[in-house]
Amino acid sequence: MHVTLIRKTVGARRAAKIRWLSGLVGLIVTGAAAPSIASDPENCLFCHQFRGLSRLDPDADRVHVYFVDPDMTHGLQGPHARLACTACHPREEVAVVPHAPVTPVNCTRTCHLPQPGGLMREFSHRNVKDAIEQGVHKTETLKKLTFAQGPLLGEDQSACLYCHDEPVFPDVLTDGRLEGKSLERCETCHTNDLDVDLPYVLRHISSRLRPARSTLELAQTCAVCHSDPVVVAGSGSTDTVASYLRSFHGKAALLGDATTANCLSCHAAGRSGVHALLPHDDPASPVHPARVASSCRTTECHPAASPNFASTSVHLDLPSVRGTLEFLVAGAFILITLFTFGPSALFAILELLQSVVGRHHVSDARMNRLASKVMEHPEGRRRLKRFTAGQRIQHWVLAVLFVLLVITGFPLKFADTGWARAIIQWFGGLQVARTVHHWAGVMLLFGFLGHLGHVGWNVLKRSRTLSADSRAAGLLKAVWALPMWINFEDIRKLKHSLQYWFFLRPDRPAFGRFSLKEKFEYIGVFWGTMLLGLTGLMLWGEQFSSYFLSGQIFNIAAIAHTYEAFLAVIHVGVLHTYSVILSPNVFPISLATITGDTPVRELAEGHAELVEREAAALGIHSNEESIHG
Amino acid sequence: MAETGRPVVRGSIHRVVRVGLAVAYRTYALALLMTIAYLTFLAFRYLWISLVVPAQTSQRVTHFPAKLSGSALATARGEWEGLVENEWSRSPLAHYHRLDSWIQPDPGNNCTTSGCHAPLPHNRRKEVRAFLNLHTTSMHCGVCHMVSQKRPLDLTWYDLQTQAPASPPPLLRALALLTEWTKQSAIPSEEQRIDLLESLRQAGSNVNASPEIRSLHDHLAVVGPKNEEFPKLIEHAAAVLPRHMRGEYGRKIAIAGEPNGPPILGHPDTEEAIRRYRERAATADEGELASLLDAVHPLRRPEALTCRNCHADQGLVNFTQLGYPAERVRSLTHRPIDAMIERIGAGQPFHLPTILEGGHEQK
Repeated sequence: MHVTLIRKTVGARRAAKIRWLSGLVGLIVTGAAAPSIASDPENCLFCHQFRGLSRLDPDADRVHVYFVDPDMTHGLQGPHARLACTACHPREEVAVVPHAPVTPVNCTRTCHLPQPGGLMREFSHRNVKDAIEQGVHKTETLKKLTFAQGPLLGEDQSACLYCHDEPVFPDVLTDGRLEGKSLERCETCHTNDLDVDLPYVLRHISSRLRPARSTLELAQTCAVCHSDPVVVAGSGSTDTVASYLRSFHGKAALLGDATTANCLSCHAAGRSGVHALLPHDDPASPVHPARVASSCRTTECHPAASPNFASTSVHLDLPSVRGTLEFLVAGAFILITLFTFGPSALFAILELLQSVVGRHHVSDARMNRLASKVMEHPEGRRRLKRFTAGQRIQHWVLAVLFVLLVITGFPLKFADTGWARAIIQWFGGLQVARTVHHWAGVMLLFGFLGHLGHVGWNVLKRSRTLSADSRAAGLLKAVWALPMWINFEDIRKLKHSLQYWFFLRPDRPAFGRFSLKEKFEYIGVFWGTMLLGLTGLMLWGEQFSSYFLSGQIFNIAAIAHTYEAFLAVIHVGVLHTYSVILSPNVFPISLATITGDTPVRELAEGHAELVEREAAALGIHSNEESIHG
Repeated sequence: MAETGRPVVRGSIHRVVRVGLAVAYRTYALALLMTIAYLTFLAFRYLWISLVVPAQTSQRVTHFPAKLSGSALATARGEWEGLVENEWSRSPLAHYHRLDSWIQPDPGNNCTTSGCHAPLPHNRRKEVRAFLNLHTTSMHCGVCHMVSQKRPLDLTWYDLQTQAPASPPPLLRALALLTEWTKQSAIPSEEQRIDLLESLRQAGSNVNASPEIRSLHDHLAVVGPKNEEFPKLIEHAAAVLPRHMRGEYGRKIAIAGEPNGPPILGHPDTEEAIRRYRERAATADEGELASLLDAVHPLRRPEALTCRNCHADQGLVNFTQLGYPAERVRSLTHRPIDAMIERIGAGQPFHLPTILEGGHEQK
C-alpha cells in the first residue's frame, strides 16, 4: 500500500510537471511570450553567431572577437538584447560586408528603444557619464592606466568597458518559475491586448530585485584595476580587493554569502553613487571619516552599532600595517604559538625518535609487568583510572563542541579554499554554519563555567579538609594543590626528559597521574576557551559591544580570535591526536577518556610514578628494584 | 631429524615475525615523526606568510582572461578559476559582448599544438581573415590546406576529445530527425523519440553548447508522443535548432587517411623537419626557408581551397554525406552565399540586408 502511495505521488508530480511544461511550451509555441519586435533586424547574427569569427592580432597579442552570443538576443537575456546592432554601431559603418574598420562604440550616444506600438524612445547613458566625471573614475584617469598585461582596451574604446561587459538579467528565481507562471497569469486577462514584450519587461524589472552582480563578480570587476600590480603601484595604494577578501565581508562572500557587504555597499552612496565614486577624502564620500559611521549603520548593515564601530578596519592587511598595534598583537600570537606549539611538537618528535632508533627505557619491561599486575588487581584497576566519569563526560562534551567550532569556524579562515566552501555548503550555507558556531561557542562557555564550578567546589572542599595538625588547609593552599598546575617538579622532569631524549641519561622521568604534556594542554584549553569565548562574544554582538569598545579593539579581537583558534586547532589536531590516537604507545586509541583504562604501555612509560605509588599502596611488587626509588 | 628440526623452524618464524613487527613499528614511528614535522612546518609557514606577505586577491576573482591573448585562446574556459566560479564572469575587457566561452581548443590539431600556427591562424587577408577563422571550429586545417585527389573530398568527422573518427555530430542528427518529422507531419515512434533525445543530450553536453539545447532535451524528455502538446514542441524544436548550427559540434571534419579511415590531423613524420625549421628559420635565406617549410608540409596543397570550392552546388564537400540535413546543405551551398563569397573574394563589398536569409525569426 505504501509503495502504491509513493507511485501515485510520483505519478502525480510527473503529471503536474508535464502539464506545466506543456503549458509553457504552448505559450512559447503560440508566440504569446515571444518578443513583438525583432532583435536583429539587420540579420547581423547570420555571421556574428559563429564563435570562430575572430582573429588574432599578433603584434598586440590580442584576439579580436567578433562573435555575438545569439542566445543573448534570442533569449532576451539582457537589457540590451532588444536593441538592434545599429543602435550602437553606426549603420553606415556596418552596412557593407566585409566591414571597414568601425569606430569604437560611444556608450553615451543616443539610441532608440523600441516601445509598444512600434514607437521609438530616445535613450542615452549620458547621465551616467556625467556622474562618472564627478568621481574618482574619470575617463581621463582611466585612460592613463597602465596594466601588467599591457593595454586591456583598444585605442579609443569606451572606458565603460573597464567595468562593464554586456549586462544580463540575473534570474531572481533560479528555476525560471518567474517567467512561466507569471506570464500564464498575465495571459489570463491580457490575451491579445498587451502589446509589450512580456518576458523582456518582466525579466528586466524583476532582475532589479537582485544586485546586477554578485559580490564576487563585483570584486572581479574592481580587481581588474585594484589588484593589478602595476595600477596598484602607480596609485601608491595596496591591493584593496585582496584586503577586502581577507575581511569578514570578503570571506563571507567567498563562502557564498550573497548578503554580505560588497565594494559598492561602502563606497557608493545615493542614486548615482554607483558611478560617482568619490575619493575617501571628499566630505561627500560615504567612506569619509565624517560619514563612514553613517555608512556602516545603514538599516541593512549594522543599524544599532555605535559610531565607534566605524573605526574598525575593513581593509586590514597585516603585512601592510607594520608597526601598528594590530600587527604587534598578531606578531605576539605567532610568538606564543612558536613557544608553545613549537616545543610541544619538538618533544613529540624527540619522543618518536626514540622509537625510530629502537631505544628502550632500562626499566620498561619491569614497569610494564608492574602496571599489568596492578591493572589485574580489582582495586588497582580502579585506582589507575586517571579520569573520573564526570571528567570523561566533560572531555567528550568539549571534544564535540570543539570539533563543531572548528568545522564551522575554520572555513572562514581559509575561505578561499574548495574544502572550506564544501564544508559550508554541507552545513547549508554560511548563515547556518555561523549560527552553529555561535551556539556551540555559547555551550562551550557554559561547559567551561560548569567546569570552573566543579573545580571551585573541589577547592572549597579541600580548603576545609583538616590536615594532620587539625588545621584547615586554607583556600590558597587548596588552589595551589590542584593537580593541573605545572610546578617546579615538572620543570625538573622536563629537564630529565630532555636529557633522556638527547641520550644523556639512560632513564626517562616518572610522571604521576598527569604528565607535563597533559597539564600543559589543560592550561592551554583553559586559556584558549576564555580568550576565544570573550573575543567571540565581542565579535558576535558587535553592535552592542561597539558602545564599550573602539574599532581598534574589534580589530585586535578578530586577530586574537583567529590566531588563538589556529593555535588550538594545530595543537589538538596534530599533538593531542598524536598523543591519544596515533602514538605507538596507544594506537589505535587510548581508552583513558572513554572507559577510564589507560593502556598498560602508556601507564608504564608515561605515568610510572602513579603505577609505583598505587602498587606500593596495594602491596604489589614486581620483584625487582625500582630504578626511580 | 624432522623432530629436532621443528623447534628450529618455529624459532626462526618467531624471529622473523619479531623482526618484522619491530621494522613495522619503527617505520610507523618514522612516518608519524615526519608527518608531525611537516605539519609543524606548514603551520609556521602559514603564520609567517600571514604576517609578512601582503594579501593576494583570490584566484577565484582574478583568474580570468582580462585580455584574450593568443596563449589564452589555447586554453579552455574550465582552466580559468575566475570564470568557472562566477555565474556571469567578466568577458575579456576589450570585448563588450558576452563571451562566456571562446573556441574549443583542438588538442589533436598538430598544426596548432606544434606551436607553429595559432588556433585562429588566418591573419593575412584583412577582408576575409575572420571569415576563414570562422571555419576553425568545425574543420581541420587539412580540409583546405592538405592535398587530396578525391572529388568530392574524402572527409570524416573526428572527436575533439579523443581525435578518433566519429559519426556526424548529434546536433546534425537531431536536426535531420526533426526536419523529417515536421515535413511529413509524422508522429515519431518511441524509438525515434529516444534517438532524438539521445542526440539532443549529447549535443547539449558539448563544450559551448547553448543551454537552449539542454532545455529542449528536458522538455522532450517529459512530453511524450501521446501528449497533445508534443507536435507543437517538435515544431518548435525544428524551428529553434537551426539557430544552434554554429559550427561548434564537439567534432570536426578532416581529410580521411584512407576511405573511411582515421583523420589526418597533421603532416606525417615531420617532427625532425619541424625541429630543423625551428632551429634555422631565423637565419635562413628565402630559398632555404622555402625548402624548410616544404619539408614541414609534405601534404600541403600548392593553393589552399577557396570558399567557392566547397560552398557551391557541385562543391568539393559532400555535405549530405557528412550528415548535414538537406535544409542545411541547401543553405551552405545555395546561391546567395555563393554570391556573397564571390563578391568578397573579388574584393567587392555587398550590402546588408538584402542578400542574407535565415537567422532570427522576425515576428
